Amino acid sequence: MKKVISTVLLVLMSLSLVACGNKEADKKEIIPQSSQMKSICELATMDCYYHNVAKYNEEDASGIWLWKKDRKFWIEYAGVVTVGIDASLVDMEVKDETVTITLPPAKILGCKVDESTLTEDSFIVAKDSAKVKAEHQTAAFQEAQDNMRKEAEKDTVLLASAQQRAQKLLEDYVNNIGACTGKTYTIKWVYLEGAKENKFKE
Amino acid sequence: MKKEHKRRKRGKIAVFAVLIVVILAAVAIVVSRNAKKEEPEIISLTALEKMVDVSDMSTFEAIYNGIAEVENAEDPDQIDYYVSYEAKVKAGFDFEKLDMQVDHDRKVITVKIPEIKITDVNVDIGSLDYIFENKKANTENVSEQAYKKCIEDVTKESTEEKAIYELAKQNAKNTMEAIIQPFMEQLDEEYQLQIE
Repeated sequence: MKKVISTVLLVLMSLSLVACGNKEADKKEIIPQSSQMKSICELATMDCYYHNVAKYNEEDASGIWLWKKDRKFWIEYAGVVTVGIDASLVDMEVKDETVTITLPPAKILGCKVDESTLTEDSFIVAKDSAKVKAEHQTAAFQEAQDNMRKEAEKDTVLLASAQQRAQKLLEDYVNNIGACTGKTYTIKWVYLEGAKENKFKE
Repeated sequence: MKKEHKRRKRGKIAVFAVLIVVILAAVAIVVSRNAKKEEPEIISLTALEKMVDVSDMSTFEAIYNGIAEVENAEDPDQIDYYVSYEAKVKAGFDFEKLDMQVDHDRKVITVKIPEIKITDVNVDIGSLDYIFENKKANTENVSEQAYKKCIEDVTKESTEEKAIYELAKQNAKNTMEAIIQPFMEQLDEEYQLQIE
Protein backbone atom coordinates (compact mmCIF):
# COMPACT_ATOMS: atom_id res chain seq x y z
CA MET A 1 0.00 0.00 0.00
CA LYS A 2 2.74 2.42 1.02
CA LYS A 3 4.53 1.60 -2.22
CA VAL A 4 1.46 2.54 -4.28
CA ILE A 5 0.94 5.81 -2.41
CA SER A 6 4.59 6.83 -2.79
CA THR A 7 4.43 6.06 -6.54
CA VAL A 8 1.33 8.22 -6.89
CA LEU A 9 2.99 11.09 -5.01
CA LEU A 10 6.11 10.79 -7.17
CA VAL A 11 4.01 10.98 -10.34
CA LEU A 12 2.19 14.04 -8.98
CA MET A 13 5.43 15.83 -8.11
CA SER A 14 6.97 15.02 -11.48
CA LEU A 15 3.92 16.40 -13.26
CA SER A 16 4.03 19.64 -11.33
CA LEU A 17 7.77 19.99 -11.95
CA VAL A 18 7.37 19.38 -15.68
CA ALA A 19 4.63 21.99 -15.84
CA CYS A 20 6.74 24.61 -14.04
CA GLY A 21 9.82 23.78 -16.11
CA ASN A 22 8.01 24.27 -19.40
CA LYS A 23 6.56 27.58 -18.27
CA GLU A 24 10.07 28.83 -17.60
CA ALA A 25 11.19 27.68 -21.06
CA ASP A 26 8.24 29.45 -22.69
CA LYS A 27 9.23 32.73 -21.11
CA LYS A 28 11.47 34.53 -23.62
CA GLU A 29 12.77 37.98 -22.92
CA ILE A 30 11.34 40.31 -25.54
CA ILE A 31 13.05 43.68 -25.59
CA PRO A 32 13.89 46.11 -28.42
CA GLN A 33 16.99 44.94 -30.26
CA SER A 34 19.61 46.97 -32.09
CA SER A 35 19.86 44.46 -34.99
CA GLN A 36 16.12 44.70 -35.60
CA MET A 37 16.33 48.49 -35.62
CA LYS A 38 19.04 48.38 -38.28
CA SER A 39 16.84 46.10 -40.41
CA ILE A 40 13.95 48.54 -39.99
CA CYS A 41 16.13 51.44 -41.13
CA GLU A 42 17.25 49.50 -44.20
CA LEU A 43 13.63 48.78 -45.10
CA ALA A 44 12.66 52.41 -44.47
CA THR A 45 14.88 53.45 -47.38
CA MET A 46 12.72 54.94 -50.14
CA ASP A 47 13.17 54.68 -53.88
CA CYS A 48 11.79 57.87 -55.41
CA TYR A 49 10.85 58.31 -59.03
CA TYR A 50 12.70 61.38 -60.24
CA HIS A 51 11.76 63.05 -63.52
CA ASN A 52 13.94 66.00 -64.33
CA VAL A 53 14.88 68.62 -66.92
CA ALA A 54 18.52 69.40 -67.66
CA LYS A 55 19.03 72.84 -69.19
CA TYR A 56 21.96 73.56 -71.48
CA ASN A 57 22.69 77.20 -72.26
CA GLU A 58 25.90 78.35 -73.92
CA GLU A 59 26.12 82.04 -74.75
CA ASP A 60 27.68 83.19 -78.04
CA ALA A 61 28.24 79.60 -79.08
CA SER A 62 28.56 80.33 -82.80
CA GLY A 63 28.69 83.15 -85.38
CA ILE A 64 30.41 86.53 -85.16
CA TRP A 65 29.49 90.03 -84.00
CA LEU A 66 25.78 90.69 -84.73
CA TRP A 67 25.27 87.12 -85.97
CA LYS A 68 26.29 85.43 -82.74
CA LYS A 69 24.00 82.67 -81.54
CA ASP A 70 23.47 81.02 -78.15
CA ARG A 71 23.19 77.26 -77.91
CA LYS A 72 20.10 76.50 -75.89
CA PHE A 73 18.32 73.20 -75.36
CA TRP A 74 16.54 71.21 -72.65
CA ILE A 75 16.60 67.48 -71.99
CA GLU A 76 13.86 65.57 -70.17
CA TYR A 77 14.95 62.39 -68.41
CA ALA A 78 13.94 60.16 -65.53
CA GLY A 79 15.65 58.08 -62.90
CA VAL A 80 15.47 56.74 -59.38
CA VAL A 81 16.84 58.41 -56.28
CA THR A 82 17.30 56.27 -53.17
CA VAL A 83 16.93 58.21 -49.95
CA GLY A 84 17.22 56.95 -46.41
CA ILE A 85 19.39 56.80 -43.32
CA ASP A 86 22.67 54.93 -42.96
CA ALA A 87 21.59 51.95 -40.81
CA SER A 88 25.16 51.31 -39.63
CA LEU A 89 25.09 54.61 -37.74
CA VAL A 90 21.88 53.77 -35.86
CA ASP A 91 22.52 52.84 -32.26
CA MET A 92 20.28 51.81 -29.39
CA GLU A 93 20.51 51.30 -25.64
CA VAL A 94 17.83 49.92 -23.34
CA LYS A 95 17.97 50.85 -19.65
CA ASP A 96 14.97 49.71 -17.63
CA GLU A 97 12.06 51.18 -19.58
CA THR A 98 14.01 53.93 -21.35
CA VAL A 99 15.20 53.30 -24.90
CA THR A 100 17.84 55.69 -26.23
CA ILE A 101 18.07 55.70 -30.02
CA THR A 102 20.86 57.47 -31.90
CA LEU A 103 19.70 58.60 -35.31
CA PRO A 104 21.76 59.95 -38.24
CA PRO A 105 20.24 62.35 -40.81
CA ALA A 106 18.71 61.02 -44.04
CA LYS A 107 20.87 61.32 -47.12
CA ILE A 108 20.87 60.38 -50.79
CA LEU A 109 22.06 56.78 -50.84
CA GLY A 110 21.85 56.24 -54.58
CA CYS A 111 21.02 57.95 -57.84
CA LYS A 112 20.49 56.34 -61.23
CA VAL A 113 19.38 57.87 -64.52
CA ASP A 114 17.22 55.56 -66.62
CA GLU A 115 18.92 55.81 -70.01
CA SER A 116 15.88 54.39 -71.78
CA THR A 117 14.04 57.63 -70.98
CA LEU A 118 16.49 59.57 -73.16
CA THR A 119 15.07 59.52 -76.66
CA GLU A 120 14.97 61.96 -79.56
CA ASP A 121 11.80 63.43 -78.07
CA SER A 122 13.64 64.18 -74.83
CA PHE A 123 15.49 67.07 -76.48
CA ILE A 124 13.83 70.47 -76.87
CA VAL A 125 16.05 72.79 -78.89
CA ALA A 126 15.27 76.53 -78.98
CA LYS A 127 14.28 77.82 -82.41
CA ASP A 128 17.17 80.30 -82.79
CA SER A 129 19.76 78.10 -81.06
CA ALA A 130 23.19 77.33 -82.50
CA LYS A 131 23.42 73.81 -83.86
CA VAL A 132 23.26 71.07 -81.22
CA LYS A 133 25.72 68.25 -81.98
CA ALA A 134 26.27 64.83 -80.37
CA GLU A 135 29.09 66.17 -78.19
CA HIS A 136 26.75 68.80 -76.70
CA GLN A 137 24.13 66.15 -76.01
CA THR A 138 26.73 63.92 -74.30
CA ALA A 139 27.92 66.83 -72.17
CA ALA A 140 24.33 67.69 -71.27
CA PHE A 141 23.57 64.09 -70.36
CA GLN A 142 26.65 63.90 -68.13
CA GLU A 143 25.55 67.08 -66.45
CA ALA A 144 22.04 65.70 -66.08
CA GLN A 145 23.38 62.71 -64.13
CA ASP A 146 25.37 64.93 -61.77
CA ASN A 147 22.52 67.36 -61.57
CA MET A 148 19.98 64.76 -60.44
CA ARG A 149 21.99 63.95 -57.32
CA LYS A 150 22.60 67.64 -56.59
CA GLU A 151 18.91 68.45 -57.02
CA ALA A 152 17.91 65.57 -54.74
CA GLU A 153 20.46 66.61 -52.11
CA LYS A 154 18.96 70.09 -52.10
CA ASP A 155 15.45 68.70 -51.58
CA THR A 156 15.14 69.16 -47.82
CA VAL A 157 11.47 68.08 -47.84
CA LEU A 158 12.39 64.72 -49.39
CA LEU A 159 15.23 64.19 -46.91
CA ALA A 160 13.07 65.17 -43.94
CA SER A 161 10.30 62.84 -45.07
CA ALA A 162 12.76 59.90 -45.31
CA GLN A 163 14.14 60.54 -41.84
CA GLN A 164 10.70 60.93 -40.30
CA ARG A 165 9.56 57.68 -41.92
CA ALA A 166 12.49 55.79 -40.38
CA GLN A 167 11.94 57.48 -37.03
CA LYS A 168 8.22 56.65 -37.00
CA LEU A 169 8.91 52.99 -37.84
CA LEU A 170 11.49 52.74 -35.02
CA GLU A 171 9.08 54.37 -32.58
CA ASP A 172 6.29 51.98 -33.61
CA TYR A 173 8.62 49.01 -33.16
CA VAL A 174 9.53 50.00 -29.59
CA ASN A 175 5.91 50.76 -28.69
CA ASN A 176 4.68 47.47 -30.17
CA ILE A 177 7.27 45.49 -28.19
CA GLY A 178 6.15 47.42 -25.10
CA ALA A 179 2.47 46.74 -25.74
CA CYS A 180 3.20 43.04 -26.16
CA THR A 181 5.22 42.74 -22.94
CA GLY A 182 3.09 45.09 -20.85
CA LYS A 183 5.78 47.76 -20.60
CA THR A 184 5.60 51.46 -21.40
CA TYR A 185 8.89 52.45 -22.96
CA THR A 186 10.09 56.05 -23.04
CA ILE A 187 12.10 56.84 -26.16
CA LYS A 188 14.97 59.27 -25.93
CA TRP A 189 16.29 60.41 -29.32
CA VAL A 190 19.89 61.38 -29.84
CA TYR A 191 20.30 63.15 -33.19
CA LEU A 192 23.61 62.98 -35.01
CA GLU A 193 24.74 66.14 -36.84
CA GLY A 194 22.13 67.27 -39.38
CA ALA A 195 19.34 65.03 -38.09
CA LYS A 196 17.80 67.40 -35.55
CA GLU A 197 16.46 69.77 -38.23
CA ASN A 198 14.44 66.93 -39.83
CA LYS A 199 13.08 65.29 -36.68
CA PHE A 200 9.38 64.67 -36.34
CA LYS A 201 7.18 65.93 -33.54
CA GLU A 202 7.74 63.65 -30.53
CA MET B 1 -10.40 -11.18 9.05
CA LYS B 2 -13.46 -9.53 7.58
CA LYS B 3 -12.37 -6.14 8.99
CA GLU B 4 -8.92 -6.57 7.49
CA HIS B 5 -10.51 -7.37 4.11
CA LYS B 6 -12.74 -4.23 4.30
CA ARG B 7 -9.76 -2.02 5.22
CA ARG B 8 -7.77 -3.32 2.24
CA LYS B 9 -10.74 -2.77 -0.06
CA ARG B 10 -11.15 0.85 1.14
CA GLY B 11 -7.43 1.42 0.66
CA LYS B 12 -7.60 0.10 -2.89
CA ILE B 13 -10.53 2.41 -3.67
CA ALA B 14 -8.62 5.41 -2.29
CA VAL B 15 -5.56 4.59 -4.37
CA PHE B 16 -7.73 4.12 -7.45
CA ALA B 17 -9.42 7.48 -6.83
CA VAL B 18 -6.05 9.23 -6.47
CA LEU B 19 -4.85 7.60 -9.70
CA ILE B 20 -7.94 8.86 -11.56
CA VAL B 21 -7.32 12.38 -10.22
CA VAL B 22 -3.70 12.19 -11.37
CA ILE B 23 -4.71 11.01 -14.85
CA LEU B 24 -7.37 13.71 -15.11
CA ALA B 25 -4.87 16.37 -14.02
CA ALA B 26 -2.36 15.15 -16.61
CA VAL B 27 -5.00 15.22 -19.35
CA ALA B 28 -6.05 18.74 -18.28
CA ILE B 29 -2.46 20.00 -18.48
CA VAL B 30 -1.89 18.50 -21.95
CA VAL B 31 -5.22 19.86 -23.28
CA SER B 32 -4.61 23.35 -21.92
CA ARG B 33 -1.12 23.41 -23.45
CA ASN B 34 -2.41 22.34 -26.87
CA ALA B 35 -5.20 24.90 -26.69
CA LYS B 36 -2.62 27.64 -26.10
CA LYS B 37 -0.66 26.48 -29.15
CA GLU B 38 -3.69 26.70 -31.39
CA GLU B 39 -4.47 30.26 -30.44
CA PRO B 40 -1.29 32.29 -30.03
CA GLU B 41 -2.09 35.31 -27.93
CA ILE B 42 0.44 37.67 -29.46
CA ILE B 43 0.39 37.01 -33.22
CA SER B 44 -3.29 37.63 -33.74
CA LEU B 45 -5.06 39.53 -36.49
CA THR B 46 -6.30 42.18 -34.06
CA ALA B 47 -2.81 42.75 -32.68
CA LEU B 48 -1.36 43.00 -36.19
CA GLU B 49 -4.05 45.43 -37.34
CA LYS B 50 -3.31 47.66 -34.36
CA MET B 51 0.39 47.45 -35.09
CA VAL B 52 0.11 48.27 -38.79
CA ASP B 53 -1.52 51.65 -38.29
CA VAL B 54 0.43 53.34 -41.07
CA SER B 55 -2.25 55.65 -42.41
CA ASP B 56 0.27 58.50 -42.32
CA MET B 57 2.84 56.42 -44.20
CA SER B 58 0.66 55.18 -47.04
CA THR B 59 1.71 57.88 -49.52
CA PHE B 60 4.99 58.29 -51.36
CA GLU B 61 6.36 61.30 -53.17
CA ALA B 62 7.75 61.40 -56.69
CA ILE B 63 9.53 64.38 -58.22
CA TYR B 64 8.20 65.30 -61.63
CA ASN B 65 10.09 68.21 -63.20
CA GLY B 66 8.86 68.23 -66.76
CA ILE B 67 8.25 70.20 -69.94
CA ALA B 68 4.82 71.09 -71.33
CA GLU B 69 4.26 72.04 -74.97
CA VAL B 70 1.77 74.80 -75.65
CA GLU B 71 0.29 74.85 -79.15
CA ASN B 72 -0.92 77.86 -81.06
CA ALA B 73 -4.65 78.33 -80.46
CA GLU B 74 -5.37 78.96 -84.16
CA ASP B 75 -2.90 76.45 -85.62
CA PRO B 76 -2.45 73.46 -83.26
CA ASP B 77 0.36 72.06 -85.45
CA GLN B 78 2.52 75.01 -84.42
CA ILE B 79 4.13 75.22 -80.99
CA ASP B 80 3.92 78.65 -79.35
CA TYR B 81 6.28 77.83 -76.51
CA TYR B 82 7.72 75.16 -74.23
CA VAL B 83 7.44 75.64 -70.50
CA SER B 84 9.46 73.75 -67.92
CA TYR B 85 8.07 73.25 -64.42
CA GLU B 86 8.89 71.63 -61.08
CA ALA B 87 6.19 69.43 -59.60
CA LYS B 88 5.65 66.87 -56.85
CA VAL B 89 3.37 63.91 -57.29
CA LYS B 90 1.97 61.83 -54.46
CA ALA B 91 1.10 58.18 -55.02
CA GLY B 92 -0.43 55.95 -52.38
CA PHE B 93 -3.04 53.43 -51.36
CA ASP B 94 -6.25 53.53 -49.37
CA PHE B 95 -5.19 52.37 -45.92
CA GLU B 96 -8.75 51.22 -45.11
CA LYS B 97 -8.51 48.65 -47.92
CA LEU B 98 -5.34 47.01 -46.58
CA ASP B 99 -6.09 43.27 -46.30
CA MET B 100 -4.37 41.17 -43.62
CA GLN B 101 -4.80 37.47 -42.89
CA VAL B 102 -3.18 35.21 -40.29
CA ASP B 103 -3.06 31.47 -40.98
CA HIS B 104 -2.07 29.85 -37.67
CA ASP B 105 -1.97 26.33 -39.14
CA ARG B 106 0.53 27.22 -41.88
CA LYS B 107 2.06 29.96 -39.70
CA VAL B 108 1.79 32.52 -42.48
CA ILE B 109 0.83 36.19 -42.26
CA THR B 110 -0.44 37.59 -45.57
CA VAL B 111 -0.68 41.31 -46.29
CA LYS B 112 -2.34 42.48 -49.51
CA ILE B 113 -1.56 46.05 -50.52
CA PRO B 114 -4.43 47.75 -52.36
CA GLU B 115 -4.12 49.39 -55.75
CA ILE B 116 -1.73 52.36 -55.88
CA LYS B 117 -3.25 55.58 -57.16
CA ILE B 118 -2.02 59.13 -57.80
CA THR B 119 -3.45 61.12 -54.91
CA ASP B 120 -2.04 64.61 -55.41
CA VAL B 121 -0.19 66.73 -57.98
CA ASN B 122 1.43 70.03 -57.06
CA VAL B 123 3.17 72.34 -59.56
CA ASP B 124 5.41 75.11 -58.21
CA ILE B 125 4.24 78.19 -60.14
CA GLY B 126 7.48 79.99 -59.31
CA SER B 127 9.51 77.39 -61.18
CA LEU B 128 8.12 78.05 -64.70
CA ASP B 129 10.74 78.73 -67.39
CA TYR B 130 10.11 79.26 -71.11
CA ILE B 131 11.45 78.68 -74.59
CA PHE B 132 9.35 80.71 -77.02
CA GLU B 133 8.92 79.49 -80.59
CA ASN B 134 6.43 82.27 -81.29
CA LYS B 135 7.59 85.53 -79.68
CA LYS B 136 4.04 86.93 -79.90
CA ALA B 137 2.93 84.32 -77.35
CA ASN B 138 5.01 86.06 -74.67
CA THR B 139 2.18 88.16 -73.25
CA GLU B 140 1.15 89.25 -69.74
CA ASN B 141 -1.23 86.25 -69.50
CA VAL B 142 1.32 83.65 -70.49
CA SER B 143 2.10 82.37 -66.98
CA GLU B 144 -1.59 81.75 -66.21
CA GLN B 145 -2.03 79.69 -69.38
CA ALA B 146 1.33 77.96 -68.90
CA TYR B 147 0.54 76.98 -65.32
CA LYS B 148 -2.70 75.28 -66.41
CA LYS B 149 -0.85 73.45 -69.17
CA CYS B 150 1.80 72.30 -66.67
CA ILE B 151 -0.85 70.85 -64.35
CA GLU B 152 -2.46 69.07 -67.30
CA ASP B 153 0.90 67.76 -68.44
CA VAL B 154 2.09 66.43 -65.06
CA THR B 155 -1.31 64.86 -64.33
CA LYS B 156 -1.36 63.04 -67.66
CA GLU B 157 2.31 62.04 -67.68
CA SER B 158 2.43 60.83 -64.07
CA THR B 159 -0.80 58.83 -64.41
CA GLU B 160 0.71 56.99 -67.38
CA GLU B 161 4.12 56.45 -65.77
CA LYS B 162 4.29 52.83 -64.53
CA ALA B 163 7.53 53.41 -62.61
CA ILE B 164 5.75 55.73 -60.16
CA TYR B 165 3.25 53.00 -59.24
CA GLU B 166 5.88 50.26 -59.08
CA LEU B 167 8.20 52.24 -56.81
CA ALA B 168 5.31 53.32 -54.55
CA LYS B 169 4.21 49.68 -54.23
CA GLN B 170 7.74 48.54 -53.42
CA ASN B 171 8.06 51.27 -50.78
CA ALA B 172 4.70 50.21 -49.29
CA LYS B 173 5.87 46.57 -49.15
CA ASN B 174 9.10 47.61 -47.42
CA THR B 175 7.16 49.66 -44.87
CA MET B 176 4.91 46.70 -44.04
CA GLU B 177 7.91 44.42 -43.74
CA ALA B 178 9.69 46.93 -41.50
CA ILE B 179 6.72 46.94 -39.13
CA ILE B 180 5.83 43.25 -39.02
CA GLN B 181 9.04 41.27 -39.68
CA PRO B 182 11.22 42.32 -36.68
CA PHE B 183 8.29 41.93 -34.30
CA MET B 184 7.43 38.51 -35.71
CA GLU B 185 11.04 37.29 -35.54
CA GLN B 186 11.17 38.11 -31.85
CA LEU B 187 7.82 36.54 -30.97
CA ASP B 188 7.72 33.43 -33.11
CA GLU B 189 10.41 32.73 -35.69
CA GLU B 190 8.33 30.02 -37.33
CA TYR B 191 5.85 32.55 -38.77
CA GLN B 192 6.44 33.74 -42.33
CA LEU B 193 5.39 37.02 -43.88
CA GLN B 194 3.95 37.25 -47.40
CA ILE B 195 3.30 40.68 -48.87
CA GLU B 196 1.39 40.88 -52.14
